Amino acid sequence: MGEDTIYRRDEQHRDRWSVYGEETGVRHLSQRLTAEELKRYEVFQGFKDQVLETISPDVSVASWNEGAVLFEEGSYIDMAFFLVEGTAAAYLAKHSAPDNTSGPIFASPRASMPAGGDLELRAPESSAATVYDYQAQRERPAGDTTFLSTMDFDLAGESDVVPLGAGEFFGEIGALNGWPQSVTIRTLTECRIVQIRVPALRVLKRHSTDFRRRVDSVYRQRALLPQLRVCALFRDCPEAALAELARRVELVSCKPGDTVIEEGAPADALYLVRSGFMRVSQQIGKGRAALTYLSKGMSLGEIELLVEGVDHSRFSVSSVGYGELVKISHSDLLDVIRAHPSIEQVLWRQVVARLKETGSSRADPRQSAFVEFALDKGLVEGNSILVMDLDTCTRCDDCVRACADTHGGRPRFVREGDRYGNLLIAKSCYHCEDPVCLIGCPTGAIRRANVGDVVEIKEEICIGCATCHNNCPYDAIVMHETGTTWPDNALPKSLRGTPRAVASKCDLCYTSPAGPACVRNCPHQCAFRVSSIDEFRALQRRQPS
Amino acid sequence: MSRWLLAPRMAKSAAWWRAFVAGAALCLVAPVVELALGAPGGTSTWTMAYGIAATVLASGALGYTARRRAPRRGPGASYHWMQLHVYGGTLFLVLVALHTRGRLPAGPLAWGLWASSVWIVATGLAGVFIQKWVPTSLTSGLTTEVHYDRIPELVGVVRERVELLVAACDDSIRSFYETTLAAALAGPQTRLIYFVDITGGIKARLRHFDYLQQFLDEEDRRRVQKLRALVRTKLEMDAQYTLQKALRWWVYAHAPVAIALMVLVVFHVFAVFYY
Repeated sequence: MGEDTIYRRDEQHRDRWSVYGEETGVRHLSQRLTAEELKRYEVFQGFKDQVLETISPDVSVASWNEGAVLFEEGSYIDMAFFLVEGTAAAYLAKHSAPDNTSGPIFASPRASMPAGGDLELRAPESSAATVYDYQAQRERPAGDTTFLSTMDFDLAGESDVVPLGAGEFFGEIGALNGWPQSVTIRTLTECRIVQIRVPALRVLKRHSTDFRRRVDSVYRQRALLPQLRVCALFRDCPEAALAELARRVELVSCKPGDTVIEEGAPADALYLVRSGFMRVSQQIGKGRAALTYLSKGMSLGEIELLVEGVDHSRFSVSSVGYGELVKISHSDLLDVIRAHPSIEQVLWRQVVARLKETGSSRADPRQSAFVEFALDKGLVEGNSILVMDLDTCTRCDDCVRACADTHGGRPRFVREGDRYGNLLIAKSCYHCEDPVCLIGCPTGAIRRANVGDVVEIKEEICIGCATCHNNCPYDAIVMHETGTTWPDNALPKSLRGTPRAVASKCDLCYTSPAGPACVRNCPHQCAFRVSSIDEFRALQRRQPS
Repeated sequence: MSRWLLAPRMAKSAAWWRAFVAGAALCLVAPVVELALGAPGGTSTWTMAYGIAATVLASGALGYTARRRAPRRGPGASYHWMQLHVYGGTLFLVLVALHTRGRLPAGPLAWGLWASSVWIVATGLAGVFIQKWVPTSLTSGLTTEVHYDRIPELVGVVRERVELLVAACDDSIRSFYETTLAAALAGPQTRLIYFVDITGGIKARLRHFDYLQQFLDEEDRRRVQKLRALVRTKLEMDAQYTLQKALRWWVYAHAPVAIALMVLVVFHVFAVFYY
């Protein structure tokens, strides 16, 4: 690696982390650390120098003040924290219903957290609750599906505060799975913390079995048991049986396109999806048809477990993006069923639902085509997709003009895109469940806004590198020339004097109490923000021609 | 009948429709009440009241346009302003008829007011019809969806691709392109047939390609298939161009007269109070 490259990385490193520390209580942030320096921390021991060099721009060591808030309950973060020195505490609203923690809960600026030894959890403030109000009006999925994100931190016993000491690792479950944090973490003393962003976490998990085991063991310890406890399947199981099951299950991580289950392979386990989306397909004639998909909280493998004579997998299951699953072997599950026969009833209900759904996809190619379309176009991934009903849209472009008026004359979406029947999926940010645009941003300019699922770009620190623009699979991020040049003190230095471009995308008008301008300013009520394929289907009046 | 009155299928908003029906019923009842009460305060009071109500509704209807032009887009959702624009605008004409006692106007200002009122309501209702019919027609018949302003640019792209494809083809295809296709690909074309039939004979126009196929080798056949797809896209863009033009241009028959009417109303009000 040439000196220039290292120097450039140093600059990028500073930019990337500069946003942290803005009013957050960070006293000092490290320079980019070399492989040798990283190895001083226990968490990086055992990794090859090359791996550590690769991840170094995504790692920082921060000194936090006493009483600072690292992250708040309900917020989305894109990094994990490894506590090197000092103590911190995790807080959870003691009597909140489990489901409440999966919804967006709003954080006001971190610096405004009360200082001192007051352990009360501050109530979310309403000032930022605009998108929440908008999203809260939507129906939440119901039924037997339990969202596994609802409890990702087990505050055991009666206490609603858990102390964290040196050597503790936290934040990684939410960061890796794209879940909102279920606790607030605050420093109790001055702390030195290693902060690892998601791209680095993924590299570390890929390169070290020990690290993967460590992350998995934290997950088992803090999240898995509470998740199983609220899972519809195991709701009636006693604690001891669940603890035993949690110890035995296998945790599976997948990359995009990975096959989890091969059709026709011996079926030996039930899979629960922790995060990501899985394509369920079956060989029909000479082709492979997508019959349905699985999202977090859903399971697969019940048919092979319960139906006699079916001992080979009926479906192929592959991961659409990054995904995490819980694999429960049939033998373990059968042990639990024998002790608690009520589980079998829940499983049978799921079998019936699955057969009905896949049967209808097999019988009606349009259904299968729609599933394929939804997976390919990311409808399953999006939390807020801008959809227009072309049957009523008069192409007046008021939505685009309103967007431009709201964002300083530059619209954040294009009224063009894929069409399905009467619906147009505009090229606008989907605010994805797992936003790949966040990966590789050298300055951290693109990030979760801590308001609902909103992903925003902080234009002040965007250096116009177009990484997010290239990463976005839905062409929802556009590059704009600002008409100015970078000043002489710009970092990285290579930018100085060059034309300044910035990336720009929909921010769901989250600062506006009225919600997205595109929807509010459509005179014919044909612009919608949809957050699930069920909502999409409800708008569909016409099959694609 | 009661269902039609309460929430007909053509109405987007049942609440606004009911408000309109109630307003229209009030307009029908008002002359009866006036007759029954023997016009206390004189006929001019009632006439004045109808006129004021008509002016208020016209101003409300204009609120939609004003909100669109406002830099921060004004209060409320655009949809409700649009509903007020349509229903309020229609009731406005009923009130104008009551205001003028159903008589034809006398004098140039009154004629101007009367004619422009009738014109804007007629063009407005035509606009409602166009805005309901054209989008459905575009969606039902065409596979492409294209932004009106980009059609000339996209036709250029299609033409470039076609020319590139044809350059690599046999003489017979090149000659077919020059005699049959080149003119059609020159730019976006408005064809009135699309108003009657959205597919506008697209299939018939593509039939030439099927005939041509039999004289070609495998390689050229594939090229002609691509050519066919490109020409189909161009023809669909013509359909989009024709119908989206109607969606945009009807406003020019409506909006300038509406502005003129508001100017005339101001004159009228001024004249009434001044004299």
